[in-house]
Amino acid sequence: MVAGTDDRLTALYRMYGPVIYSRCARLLGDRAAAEDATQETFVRVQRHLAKAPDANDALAWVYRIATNYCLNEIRDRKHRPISEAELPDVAGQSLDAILADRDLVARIVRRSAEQVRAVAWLHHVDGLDQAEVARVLGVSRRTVVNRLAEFSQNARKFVTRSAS
Amino acid sequence: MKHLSAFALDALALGTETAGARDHLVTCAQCRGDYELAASLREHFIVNVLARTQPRRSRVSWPWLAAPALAVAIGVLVVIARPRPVAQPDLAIKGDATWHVFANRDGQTFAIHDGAQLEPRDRIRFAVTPDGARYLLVASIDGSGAVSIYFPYGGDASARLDPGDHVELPGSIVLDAAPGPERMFAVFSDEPIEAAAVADELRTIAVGGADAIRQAHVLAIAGMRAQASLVFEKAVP
Repeated sequence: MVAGTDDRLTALYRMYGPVIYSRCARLLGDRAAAEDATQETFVRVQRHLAKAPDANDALAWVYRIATNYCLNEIRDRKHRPISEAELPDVAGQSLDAILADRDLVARIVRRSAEQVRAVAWLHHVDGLDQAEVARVLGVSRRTVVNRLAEFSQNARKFVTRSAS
Repeated sequence: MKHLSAFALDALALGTETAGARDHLVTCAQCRGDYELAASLREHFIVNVLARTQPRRSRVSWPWLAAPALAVAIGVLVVIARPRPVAQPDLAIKGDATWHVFANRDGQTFAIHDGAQLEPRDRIRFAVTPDGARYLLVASIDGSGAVSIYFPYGGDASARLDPGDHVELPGSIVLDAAPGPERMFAVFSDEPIEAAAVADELRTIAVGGADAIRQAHVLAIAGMRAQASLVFEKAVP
């Protein structure tokens, strides 16, 4: 590794490490796991350092890496889909009410396909608007809209199943 | 009321927030609570993790990958040496220590706040309330990557503070004409800290350019009791 690469990595770690750790701790709910996740995030940053964007977009880029890592960790913790018996009774609730419940959404998100998981989590759990989600994930706003629609459809099916 | 997203709150901590985010934080208790929770986590990382895990420029790989046992040992030493947390971005110094920076231009004296616009030949002075800390080092990094040790001026290590609740540091600094941001750090400690270690940290920040200097709020130095930071911009009038 050349000195310049080392310096760049150090600068990114110093600048974004505290925020990424905080992000991971809030996602994982565990400080030790968050420390591991932060290190894993910056190992990935190191791997793709040549693609690191400039200061305007660097936070979103590192955020994306950390979010994807943590969501995979959350998925792998379970090693299986959450059974419906573990989910609360939502019979009679509207889809809007379901999506307003961050904890419930988080549990539904874990059951979702990978391509919608990050989008749904960022929007419904972390409260990012569509433009922010697009920026963090490096996708178009149209893609965000489509994936959120897919997630809503899945959530609606879940509500219907629970009610029946 | 639409609340700030997790991303917006984190951007706020880095000084890259969208317009209106800071105003919203003032008026929204829920977002302020979320921000404070995130701030406490960042502080935990800075105090307990950053100093022992950051990549070392003299090494070809990161310490935690190359020698985890050594990293753990260093971490224990750092934690023992640092009984109190360091300050967080955008927050006052922890432990009730305070740091005031004043500028004098054409005979008029005014307090400097984060983001202040200063001019070449402005004279700046410092006053601190150390809250029990015995040593202080004030250093800066400017847009050209130049490191300056302001207190003790040009010194090799932290200087012992005079006893007292409010200490005005001797002398004043005349700003040069280098344009762009200049970020200053006040590092409080119970034992002297080598200026070279602080200078090394500052040069690391400067690698990221002017924006990195504007956004870097903390130094990871073992042995700190508290720290504060302030950035100002120098413009040619």
